[in-house]
Amino acid sequence: MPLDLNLETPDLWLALPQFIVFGLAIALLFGDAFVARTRHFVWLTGLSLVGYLAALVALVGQANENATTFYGLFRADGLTVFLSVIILSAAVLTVMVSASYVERLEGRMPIGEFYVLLAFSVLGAMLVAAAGDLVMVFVGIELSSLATYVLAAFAKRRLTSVEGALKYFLLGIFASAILAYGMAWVYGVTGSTDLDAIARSLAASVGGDEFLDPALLLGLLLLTVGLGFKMAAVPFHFWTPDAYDGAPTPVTAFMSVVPKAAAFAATVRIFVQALGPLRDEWVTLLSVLALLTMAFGNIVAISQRNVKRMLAYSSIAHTGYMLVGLAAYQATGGTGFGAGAGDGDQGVSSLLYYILAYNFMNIGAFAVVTWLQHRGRGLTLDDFGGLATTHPLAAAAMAVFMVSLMGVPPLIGFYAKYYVILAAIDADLLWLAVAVVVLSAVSAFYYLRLVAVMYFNEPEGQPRQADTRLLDVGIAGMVIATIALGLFSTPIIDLADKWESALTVAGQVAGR
Amino acid sequence: MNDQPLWLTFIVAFTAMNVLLAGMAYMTWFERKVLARMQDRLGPTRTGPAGLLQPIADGIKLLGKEDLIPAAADKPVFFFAPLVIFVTAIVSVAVIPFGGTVEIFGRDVNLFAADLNVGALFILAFGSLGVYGIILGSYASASRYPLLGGLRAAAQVISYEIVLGLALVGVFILSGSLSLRDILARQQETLSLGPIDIPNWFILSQPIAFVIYTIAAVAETNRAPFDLPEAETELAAGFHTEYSAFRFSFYYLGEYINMIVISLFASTLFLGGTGGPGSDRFWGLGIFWLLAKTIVFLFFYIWLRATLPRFRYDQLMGIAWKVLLPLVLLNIVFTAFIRLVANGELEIPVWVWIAVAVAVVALLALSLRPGGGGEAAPARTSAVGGD
Amino acid sequence: MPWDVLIFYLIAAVCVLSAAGVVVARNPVHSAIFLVLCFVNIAATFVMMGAEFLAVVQVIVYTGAILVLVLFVLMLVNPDDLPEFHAARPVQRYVGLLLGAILLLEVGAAIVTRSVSGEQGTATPDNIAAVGGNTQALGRVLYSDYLLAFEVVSLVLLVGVVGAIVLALPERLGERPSVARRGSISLSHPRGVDAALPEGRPAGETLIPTRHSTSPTRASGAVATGNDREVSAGPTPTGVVRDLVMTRDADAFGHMGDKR
Repeated sequence: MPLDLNLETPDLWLALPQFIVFGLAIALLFGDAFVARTRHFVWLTGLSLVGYLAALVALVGQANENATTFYGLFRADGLTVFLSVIILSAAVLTVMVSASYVERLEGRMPIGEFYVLLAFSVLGAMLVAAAGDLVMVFVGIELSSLATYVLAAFAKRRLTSVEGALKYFLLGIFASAILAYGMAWVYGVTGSTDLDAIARSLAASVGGDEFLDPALLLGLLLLTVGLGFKMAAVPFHFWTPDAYDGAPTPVTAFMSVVPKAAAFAATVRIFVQALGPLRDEWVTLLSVLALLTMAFGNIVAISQRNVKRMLAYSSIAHTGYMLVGLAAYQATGGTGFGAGAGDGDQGVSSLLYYILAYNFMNIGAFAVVTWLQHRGRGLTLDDFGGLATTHPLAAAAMAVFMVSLMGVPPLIGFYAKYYVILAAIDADLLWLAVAVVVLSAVSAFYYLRLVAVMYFNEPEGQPRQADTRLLDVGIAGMVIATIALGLFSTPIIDLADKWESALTVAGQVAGR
Repeated sequence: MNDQPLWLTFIVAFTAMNVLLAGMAYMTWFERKVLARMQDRLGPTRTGPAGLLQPIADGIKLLGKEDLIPAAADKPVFFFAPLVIFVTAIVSVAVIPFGGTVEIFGRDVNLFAADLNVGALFILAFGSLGVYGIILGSYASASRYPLLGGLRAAAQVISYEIVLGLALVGVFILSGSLSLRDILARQQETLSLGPIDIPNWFILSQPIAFVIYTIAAVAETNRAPFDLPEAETELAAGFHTEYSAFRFSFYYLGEYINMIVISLFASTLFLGGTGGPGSDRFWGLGIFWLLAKTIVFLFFYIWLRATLPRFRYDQLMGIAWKVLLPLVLLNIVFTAFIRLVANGELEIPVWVWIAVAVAVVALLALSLRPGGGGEAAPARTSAVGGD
Repeated sequence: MPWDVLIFYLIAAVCVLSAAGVVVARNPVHSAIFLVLCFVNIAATFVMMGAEFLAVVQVIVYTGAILVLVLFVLMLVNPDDLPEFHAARPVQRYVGLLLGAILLLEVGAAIVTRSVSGEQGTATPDNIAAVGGNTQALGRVLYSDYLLAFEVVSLVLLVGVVGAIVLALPERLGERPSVARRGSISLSHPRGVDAALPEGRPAGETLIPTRHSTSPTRASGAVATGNDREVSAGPTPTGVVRDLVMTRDADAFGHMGDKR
């Protein structure tokens, strides 16, 4: 009786971190309604931080899981844990960066709703990371994106915010439609939405050098376009500069990390786990996309004088670097980086490490921009003039983030690029590796220009005084992470290797 | 149920439709008479005995009027908008069962036009399509009063449709089916409460749902006291201000047929439909009982119109979203819960029952405490039609 | 049965034609009407495939709720006032046509050379009949196999509600929800360098100007040059905002009737 109502109880413990974030969102909704307005700032900020940290703690318990629940929709494995760590730490940092901004700047935005939407966006991204089914990937992306659209428009009385959010929304739902269409084709060909079942079906039907089924190719292309939009890869990046520029700065910091992490999570889940047998096709596609994205992002960023726009294009460029990691995926299992690593794939490991690194340095850069906005500065390069004389610590922090984004040892950004390049070389993609190096050199121009402006220009006017304790702590934490995680990169990449290998093993078990 | 030839189904549907149309005509007579009696008047008396020919006279008058089309009207839309409301209203009757399969002239005849296994939703779906007749007509008139009336109608019908649909969920949970025939069959069973046998009508097990359904149905059909889309004191005649003659008559027909269908639907879902003394022996009695219940329902409609003043627009929306919707959701949760417990699929320890009882009593005490909760926040005026 | 096929082709033809009508019609209300027609016909094809529940839900949700809201909004705002999304860039049109043609060819090729590699699913007609019908089968799958996705979708709706309230509710009493006017937003090209308003100014300076007087006799044409507080910095095309209330003069309703 295949259609019997077979209500097995799902193993809820496997999804504990996700449930904590869900509970946090609901608690925030009620807190917003029932806590006195004057206490919102302290209570809701505290609640958010406690909630995300609790979820992080709960993740520790999941470290060695490799199982599915909810009828295969939910997957608790190494990839889930690693990506969830990134997403949750980004959430914690965003709360630290945004609290005082939301409370004080842009005419006091409603902080309760801000945290609620943030929590739902985080939950959506975590569900994508844990998805075991195309439906779940789509629903998670939608949950995450929908909340982010609203967050981007949060400064609703500033036209640039509304405009950026509108573009983000329109192109985002367009991308979702394309993504869903691509999923429909994949489902149509393979007869299942379950990622492992798709892999099984494809492994059985796609083999050798026979001509690729056009339906499959179409599905692959549509999926690439849809996910490309979400991760802001060229040529699907058009929304990025305006949306990043218009959104409130802490939201930009969030948008540049969590939806991107969710998009890459979806890409790894779909392309590596489900469409693994089609590796040869999508690797070519992604390498071209990676090259375009890196080149365009870096070159256009040079001409930007608005720091948020510059960081937006820089984030496009970093999407390119991450795509290089994905393009270096070798279906054979690879050898892994670390000493004790198993058969984790270098490409995916380097991608995971890159997202982790990018998380700290990019949110850090936007955090410093926020910090300056609190002190009445604008967003152009000139507003950063002489920062080193007026606020030496902030300037130093910004310099660390810039240099790390550029990829200078011994900071975390260097190791991220280093592993990506290693993976690319290992996958015989020497040209991509060379492109990463050359374009990093190009990016030095605009990153170092900002540093130069801060250190060699004269300051204009007197800055306003502001008390931003939480933000200060956050920036300090991110500086430390940027330096320390670079120095101790080996254990992390081992971890990425090991956790990613769980996925590969699962795929092989399912596939063979 | 049997597979009957298409022509027989056609005859049944044709009969039902014509009975419905005639019923609609005499509904207007009935309404005028009842209203008049309630206002201590006589109502129509001149045309025919007791004014029985009045609907026919009205119809002839309507057809004889000049057909006016505003110069700025969107003509194609203006033409078909009244048809939408008429057709959607009349199609709904197809799924209402007037009885089971009976033998007439030695032939098995199904006393329903179609047995859809989602019959109840079918009526809701066509009810929701009916609103297009209103908003398109109001848009096509290129005039302000109709436009405002149309906007009000759209907002009102969407809001109350949610309530209406959710009110039925309790019935669906209890009957385990969306088919009107199955729901009817469930209500033919008898419940034994000790010495007395009572029919298993869903009005008894779902009283809250029935009350909410009745309120929402009145709003769905734009009748007093929820007739804001055509509130004559504010909007002239509302959405059909620019319509006259034949086209207007379609709106008129549509509105009354909608009322009758909604009443038939309510009788079927809550009042046991064709059930009644003797209905299991002779199918004609079943139809009689169904129609009798429907007429009681329709009388209630008219009674409301004669009694209640019209709501303000924000009150109308407030009732739907702040009162009826939470209530109906509670009803669904409660019904599902009871069903699970009654079927033995959910074992509840005694202490939970006690805890729940204590909590309920405590909540009641808290909310009844003077100055405690209970008062709703002052309503925010709606942007549409509020000013 | 040829009758079935004939009816199917009829429904499909109406469906495709009305879908084309959605794109071709110049009056947005007509587009919406065509879309209603298209959806109802899609529901009819569902019925023909034996999926009555899906058909009815399609009608209730799409035509009964979503498109009514679309019409509602179309009637509430003057279509002429909507932001201009059609960029005057012919290149895009040609590239778009080219890409569309390629996609069409791909779809065609995919359909012609179709190959299905997966195993057959469990939702066969026999199995569906065994559980009592399409509705029951759908319910079973929805609440078991796709339970988590189903629940997450409800969260998506919750986020939608929260977002709508955040964006639409006035922050202060008396403030009107506002929309940007045509010309202020363009999807075709990113803003120029340094076009953004610098942030971090004291609140109030970077606000979208809102109008508080809602005189019913003001012609809509006068809005752009009216007495609005325009606060713009640099080359930013500042939007002028119109209230979302139906208090415009009769001229503004000209679009309701005129046929284009």
